[in-house]
Amino acid sequence: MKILANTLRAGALAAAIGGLATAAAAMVTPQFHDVFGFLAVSVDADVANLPAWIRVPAIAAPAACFAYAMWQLARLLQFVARGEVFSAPAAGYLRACGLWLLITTLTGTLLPFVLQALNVWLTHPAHAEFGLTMSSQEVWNIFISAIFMLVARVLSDAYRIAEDNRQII
Amino acid sequence: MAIVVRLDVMLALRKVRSKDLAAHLGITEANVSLLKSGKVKGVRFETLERICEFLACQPGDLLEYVPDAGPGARG
Repeated sequence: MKILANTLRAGALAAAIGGLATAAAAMVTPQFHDVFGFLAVSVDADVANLPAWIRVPAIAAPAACFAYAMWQLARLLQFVARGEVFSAPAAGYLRACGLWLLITTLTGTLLPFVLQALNVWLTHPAHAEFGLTMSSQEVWNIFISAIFMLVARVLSDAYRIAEDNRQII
Repeated sequence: MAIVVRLDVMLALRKVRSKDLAAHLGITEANVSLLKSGKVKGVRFETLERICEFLACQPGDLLEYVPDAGPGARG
């Protein structure tokens, strides 16, 4: 249990750092997705070709949210490694991880749309037409985030029951 | 709290130490102390049975109902 938790924790921290590094590279190099195609899974080709004031926040915001979610997951796994699974902080970190994964998905979907819409509205207000699309991957990510939050709720209830049980002698 | 634990009184009457009771119950002295002070959410029937067995008493000797003072009872 301890080895698995520590391994997963290292993976979560690596994912956080890797996500930030990938985003930083994509912000510096607009054609990053062409150069490092296998890494730039989160960099949309449409976003990569847009002006820097759109590209930078559209890439940086989801990457920062994802890194924070992974940081919360790493902290949760720290508690799991210590054997403190049914504890209030563990439930809190899991809930925060799910919430920030949800925010990551929503930010990655909505922010580029809002910024591109703003760009079109500023440059060609007469021809401003907007459309929002959501891929099955993004719907899946929202589903996974919701599952994380539900499990956090269950964990929180389990902690409360364990605490009640501990106070009955 | 309307239920008052009289375990300390029974221990004194029977001249039994908390340590010995804890050993008989198989719980820590800290838990016996919590039980004596009433700072627990509940007592298992199994624990109550063993306390009664060890102290040769009835559950009613250990627990007492004292109604809470209502708002009208104040000053």
